[in-house]
Formats: sequence, structure tokens, C-alpha cells
Amino acid sequence: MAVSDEDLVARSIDGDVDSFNQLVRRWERPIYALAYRTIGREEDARDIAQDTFLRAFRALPGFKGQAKFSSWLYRIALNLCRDWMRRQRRTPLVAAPEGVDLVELAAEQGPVESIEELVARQEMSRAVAEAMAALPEEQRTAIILKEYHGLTFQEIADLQNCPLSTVKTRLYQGLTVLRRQLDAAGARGMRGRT
Amino acid sequence: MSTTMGCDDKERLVAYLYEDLATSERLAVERHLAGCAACAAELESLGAVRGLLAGWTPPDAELGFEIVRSTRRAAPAARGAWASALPVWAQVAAAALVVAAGAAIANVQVRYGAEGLSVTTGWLNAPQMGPAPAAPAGLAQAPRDDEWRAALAALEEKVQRDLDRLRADAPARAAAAAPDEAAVLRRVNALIEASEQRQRKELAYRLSQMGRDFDVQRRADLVRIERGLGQLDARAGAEAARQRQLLNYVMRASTQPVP
Repeated sequence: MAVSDEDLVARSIDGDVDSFNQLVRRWERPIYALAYRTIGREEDARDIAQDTFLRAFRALPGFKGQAKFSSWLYRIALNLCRDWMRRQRRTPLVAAPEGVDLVELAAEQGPVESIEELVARQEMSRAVAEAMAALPEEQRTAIILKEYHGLTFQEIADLQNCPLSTVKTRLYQGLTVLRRQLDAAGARGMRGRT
Repeated sequence: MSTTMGCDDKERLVAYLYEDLATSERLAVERHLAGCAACAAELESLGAVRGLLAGWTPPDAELGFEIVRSTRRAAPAARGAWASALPVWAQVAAAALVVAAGAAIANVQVRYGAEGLSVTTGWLNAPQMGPAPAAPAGLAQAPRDDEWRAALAALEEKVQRDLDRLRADAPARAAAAAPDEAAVLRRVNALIEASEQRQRKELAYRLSQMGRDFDVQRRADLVRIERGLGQLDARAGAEAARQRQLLNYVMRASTQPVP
């Protein structure tokens, strides 16, 4: 049976670095994915993920378990993403590298998919990434946390320091804008073709 | 929470979309949707957007982060290891020796006369090797030059002996510290090797991606070329048909008798 986050945190606080590294292995992919979807750059997302764990390790003695360990990590990572965006002084660029996605999609789909379908899927993915990048930060973060990390409305509200109703409004507004943008980009039609 | 729902209750619609409603509220939303085509269509379109979002995945990155706690602090860079191992009194003696040697080189002379204490240096004057001038009557006799030199020589000899002893003890101390340093060295080597392995894997992965990318691009180009050739064929065929029609017309016209 897997050791719980809480147990690993307790051992880490007692100085067991291996336990903390278990937490790192458990959470590095979600944190990297969160950073990537928030800022849209692979290398920087990796740096942010690494920095998140480093900061968490240093701040571990002050972690009293008032929140879930994962929520605490998400908070650190989101703060780092916000700092990154402030430094960049621009909206996040979503890297949808041509070729790489195409190849990955080709590998996933197998040889039966035609080139046209591959290109359509790649374009759809890029359209989604660009539409997400154009959203206001609060809406984008709420959607990422809900869609890809399965947080509850209350957990998102805690992370964003806002009321529960605001989270739902942000989600509704964000999804509505996305729908409009994806319609304009023809992404929904693309999906229908694939 | 009300058991009826209005069209402007978007928060509840979102909660329904994410299946995060109590049973009574869910039923209220479903009753509303059954009678409101606009809200039902909106819910469907928001669901479709969620379907598109599911297809957006981050690129597969090599992570493998690890926290490594350093086992010992690095030695201060500005001081030699032997210096930090010296006892304090030896360091003070060495400093005094340096000051004394500097004073000797600079030909420093300290005099105390009727006009008070005076210190002079003689960088450009050769030190006066003759006997010191007689001290004024009534003043304490200053230490003679050869006494200073003898004391300095004794001090220098003592410091040298201590340094020799410390140097002789150094291998034993190094041997005592060796296991720790060897472990650190092994750890660093392992980290370097792991990093190199990661880089090699990354390089191989990127190269393989490039190869596959190139292949897919080539196939895409071939499809485009094929399409272009097909269009050209179609155009050429149409042109040939037009030419044939024209030729037939000319032939027919030429065979008709001139009125």
C-alpha cells in the first residue's frame, strides 16, 4: 500500500530526504503540467517545477498541514508562474511546436491515421493552447485546476483566495470565451472530422 | 439553495457541467434543461469545449528531480587548509613575524628623545649597522638591534617547527577525513553520470523525433505534390478536350462547301 502524502511529509520534516524525494516523484508531473499549461513554455515550466520542489523542501519545517500537501505545492507553483509572467511582462506564449506535436500524435494514433487527420489534430491542439493563453489569468488558472487536476470548487477558491461563486463564474466565463474562440478557429469542426 | 433554476443561474449550470451538485439541485437543473432548449444547447456546447480541452497535453519532458542534501560545508576559499588548522597562538605569532620582518625590511627606527616618540622609516637609506648612538642620560636603555634579531630568529624558528609538525600530521588527518570525501566524490560522480545519461537520452529522443518529424513532413509534402499533380492533370485534360472540340469545329467547318 502506498504511503500517504501526510506520512511522507512528516518523515521529511524529521529529516528524511528520501521521503521527500518520493513526494517529488509523485507530484513532479502534475506540477510540471500545471506550469506548462499556465505559462506555455516547456523549458521554463520544467524550471518552475524544479524550483517549486526546492522551495517546498526549504519551507517544509513551516508546513503545518493546514492544507493538503498537493494544494500547498500548487500554490507555490502558481506563485512562481505568476512571478515568471510578471518578469516576462507579456501574456503567456503557448508553444505548440510544429512537428513535435505532429510526431507525437502520429505515434499515438498509429499508421491508420492520414496526414490530413494528423494535421487537423495538431491544429486543434494549437487552437486550444492559443485560446487558453488568451484568457485572463484567473479564468485560465481556474480551468486548468478544474479540468486537468480535478480540484474541487472549494480547493480552487482557497488557492485563488476568492469565494466559491467567483470560481464558478470564472469557469463559466472562461469556457464561454474558449467556445467562441475555438468556433472562430474552426476547432470544433476539426474535432468533428477526426 | 432553490429547487428551481433560472436561465441566468450560470453558477449552477457550471456545477452541473462538472457534476458537483447535490441530488436535489441536480434534479432541479435537469427539470429546467428539459424545458429550456437554449440552456440545454449551452450545456452541450460547454461540454464540447471540455472535450477539446482534454486533447491538450503538455510535451513529455524528462523530469527526475531529486533533492540532495550536502554532507559538509565547503572550506573557505580564501584561506589555505593548513592555515585554518593552525592554533590561534601560532597564527598570532606568524602575524607578528610578518610585521617584524616588514619593519626590518623597511628599516623602521623608533626613537624616544626629549622631543617625544618618533618613528622613521628608511626605505631609501641603508640600515645603519654600526653601534646605536648612546641613549640620552636618564632614559631607559632601548633593546639593542642584535637582541631584536635574536628574538625574531627564535620566534621564526618556533613557527617553522610548528608548521613542520602540522605538515607532518596532515596526511593522518587527510586519511581520517578521506572516507567522507570519497563518499561525496562518489556521489558527485554518480550525479554527473546520471546527468550525462539524461542528456544522452534527451539527445537520442530529440534525434529520433527529428527523424520521425522529417518523415511525416516528407509524407505531407508528397500528399501535397500528388494533389497538385492531380489538379494539373485535370487542367491539362480540360485543355485537351477544349482543343479537341476546337479542332473538330475547324474540321467540320473546313468540310462544308463554300456558298
